[in-house]
Amino acid sequence: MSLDSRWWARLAPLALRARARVDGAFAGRHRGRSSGVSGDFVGHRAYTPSDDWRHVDWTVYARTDRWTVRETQADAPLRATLLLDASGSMAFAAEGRRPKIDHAAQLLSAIAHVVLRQGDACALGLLGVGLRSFLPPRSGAAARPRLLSLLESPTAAGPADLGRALREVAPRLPRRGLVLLASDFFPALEGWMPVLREWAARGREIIAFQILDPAELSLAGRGVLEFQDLETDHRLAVDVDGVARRYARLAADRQRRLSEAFAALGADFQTFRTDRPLDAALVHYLRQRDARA
Amino acid sequence: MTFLSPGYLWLAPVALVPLALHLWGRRGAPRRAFSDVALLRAAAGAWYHPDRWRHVLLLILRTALAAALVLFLAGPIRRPAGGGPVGGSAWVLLDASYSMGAAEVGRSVFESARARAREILDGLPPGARAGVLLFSDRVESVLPPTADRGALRRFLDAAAPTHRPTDVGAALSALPKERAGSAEPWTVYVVSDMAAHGWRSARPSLPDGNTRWALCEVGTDYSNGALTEARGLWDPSTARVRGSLSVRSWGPLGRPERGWSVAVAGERPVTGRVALVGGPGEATFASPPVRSPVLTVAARVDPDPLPEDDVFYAVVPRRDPPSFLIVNGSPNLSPVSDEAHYLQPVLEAWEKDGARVRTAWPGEISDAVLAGIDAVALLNVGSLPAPAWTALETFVRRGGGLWITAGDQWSAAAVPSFAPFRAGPPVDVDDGAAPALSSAPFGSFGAGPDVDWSDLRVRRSVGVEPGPGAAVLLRGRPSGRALLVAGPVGDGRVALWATSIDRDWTGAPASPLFPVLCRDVFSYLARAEAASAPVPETVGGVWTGRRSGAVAALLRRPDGRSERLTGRAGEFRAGPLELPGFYRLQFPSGGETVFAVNASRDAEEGNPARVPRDVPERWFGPGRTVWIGAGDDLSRTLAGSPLRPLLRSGLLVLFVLETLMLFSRRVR
Repeated sequence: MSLDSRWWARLAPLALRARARVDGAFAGRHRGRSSGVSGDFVGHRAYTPSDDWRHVDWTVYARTDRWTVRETQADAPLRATLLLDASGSMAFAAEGRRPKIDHAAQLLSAIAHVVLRQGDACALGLLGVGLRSFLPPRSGAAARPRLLSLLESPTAAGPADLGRALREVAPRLPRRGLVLLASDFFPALEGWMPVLREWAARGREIIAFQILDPAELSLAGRGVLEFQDLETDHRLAVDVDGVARRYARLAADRQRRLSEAFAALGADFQTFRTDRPLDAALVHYLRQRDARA
Repeated sequence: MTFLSPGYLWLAPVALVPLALHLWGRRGAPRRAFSDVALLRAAAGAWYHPDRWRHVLLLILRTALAAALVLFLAGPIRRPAGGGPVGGSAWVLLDASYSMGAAEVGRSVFESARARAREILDGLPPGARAGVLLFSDRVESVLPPTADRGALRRFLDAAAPTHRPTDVGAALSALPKERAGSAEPWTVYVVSDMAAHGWRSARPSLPDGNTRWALCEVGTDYSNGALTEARGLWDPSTARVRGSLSVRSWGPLGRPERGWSVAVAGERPVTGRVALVGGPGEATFASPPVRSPVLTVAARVDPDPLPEDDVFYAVVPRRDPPSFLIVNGSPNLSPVSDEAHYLQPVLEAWEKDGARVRTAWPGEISDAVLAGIDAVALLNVGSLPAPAWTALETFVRRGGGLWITAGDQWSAAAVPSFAPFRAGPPVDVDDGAAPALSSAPFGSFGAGPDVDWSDLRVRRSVGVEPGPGAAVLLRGRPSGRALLVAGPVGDGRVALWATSIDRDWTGAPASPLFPVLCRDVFSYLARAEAASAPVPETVGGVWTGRRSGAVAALLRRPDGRSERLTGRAGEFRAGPLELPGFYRLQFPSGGETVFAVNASRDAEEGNPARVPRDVPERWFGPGRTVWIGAGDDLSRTLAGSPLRPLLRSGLLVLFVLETLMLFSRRVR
């Protein structure tokens, strides 16, 4: 799932900043755990719109007329862990649309690009019944090819056990950092939300990207259809006309519960629909997040 | 277990429709991969439960609904314990009344009854004797008890429903005679539709207590309409037949209206609809102009399960306006002495109704003058030349009427030899008139004691001696002399007025009764009495008609068969006539008589309501009656109530809706 030049152009001015304090032995643009905003002077770099305006070195600006940020030792690098749900349900695609897994992989690729470009480290985990594979955090240009190649053609198959997968990921996470989880979040909330709640309690910032096909919000088709579960192969024949309204109501209820649960964690919960352009939605989200910060 | 209407079992494959649709749907539903079947299952729980067992249950319910519908129509019944013969011998009384001709699915009720009778006879122990009695409102035929199974089967095979009403009592009354001399115990099976109208007679005398009664009910409930009567009158002014129909309907949920059609003389039928809401319906009709001399009326209503009473046959007498010939033997310038003076107003009034009146001199009477004439009045003519009398005799014997009045021209030769009376010379009297009501064929004469005849005075009259067949219609009072005498001659009629028809011998022309009397006499002689609706014969009756001169006739029956009849003294008898329809009696000398025969039109014969159970049990005694039929099942319990057809219709509608819904889902 490669990103074309148009993507790069749109992502270039964007940044992903951690709102929580992060741990790190190296310099970064994110607030470190040590108190105080300023530390030892490290150097200057060009200002980007996502930079805190308080870090702008006004002296340099007065001399050179350029917006320059003063970096100090206290600003720690970010370790972002990208987790992609690769269970069978992510393979779903209504007629004429891309599978959700492709959508999610492209989203995480863009996020990885942003994170790596801003000099932070990025890890990647693929989730199924458990942790299917994990790429330890890397930063710099060398990390990008391998990370993007993993996201190039992910396979969604098998049943989902999001709770177990998250618990297997937990030992590999930094004590503090940013966790970005892309999933449809269809498994029962009780199975995996406690894990995220624990992570949040430990100071990890969580961003949840929900990838949905519109057909999962309101049933498509008419008459009696036999639905086959992508994860369990179970079949269910239903009269779509008879259940569509009730299904839509239940789906809306689930969305509301997810939104409330993530809000309680202090986590971002953003839904991306496969029938809408991903780049616009992502840029909108990042800008909105930056504005909130 | 057996069925009231096993013909409906042909619908049993209907029960497989839900199964077929179910299987078809299972194969045919498009399959789609989906990511969140758990949520879908939660949503579908209330609508279409995914549980396979619940699917199976739903399928079973649907199939059971269809099967229930078929079973309900077929009327399942169970054989009660102890319903078998006592002592191994049995009588089967098989109902052959016309209500047994009602149609069911695939066959008639009678065929179901015959099949039931066969079952009963086949179930008898080997060597047991059995007799069969076919009945309607009488015993139609009997097969005495026999152990020959072949004879029993042949008798049943030859049995057929009749066109007669039902009277179970008639069959039961005949049973003791048929069983005379037998002391062995019997079981008597009554195989019938158990229509209530068959049980209206008084309780018959029944065989002794050594008899067991088994009532086998056949047939299903249905709504029936019947054409109870069709009447018609010939309208000579328009050459049409105008008439009316009476239609009745029985049974709940019957049709609120029925279509009818009436064909007169085989012409194009006229049609219409009659409303039946709230009771019997009446409809009127007018046929297209008819040229045929024979006015057969075949009326029908839309067919229903019992076709026998949906048709009614009648023959309307065709009465063209009469033609009269007045022969005045004593024309006089004085109105008081002119024979025709007082008759003239009567005839003029009649001419307004279409009658034609011609006059002739006595010497002009001939066959040519008499052609087309219905009645001739010889007013004080006295004697006539022999050829004139010959022409008049021929005229009368062929159906014409002759009225002779007395007067001053009277002579012994004034009464012809062919007249059914003899007349003497005139004598003076002082009489009033008195009608002989017992023999008066005239409506006005028979009007009753309220009519005042006292002012009809007679001063002079001739003596009259009525011969065989003649009747005295008016007598003088107190002398007792005959004043008006009439009688048949051949196909015609001859009457004698023993006094003058002017005021020479009587004051009668001044009486208000005079015009009525004259018109009635002329009507009688011209056979132009007020046309009344003919009373149709019903099956089983004997038709009797007279035809002078004819000794043989050919009777053509409605089924096309012919029968040669021989008349005695000009009287022909045909019958008993067992087929409804038109019968034609054709005479070799020319001429034809057509009459209609209908199936029984008993007022309740068309009512399919079942007899209440307590009626037969009162007849046979409690504990001696076993119902082999719907006696104990739901359909019997609901018989006669609107609940049964409602339930049947409800099941049908439910099944159709359910099947359509299932089908539409599968199609989509």
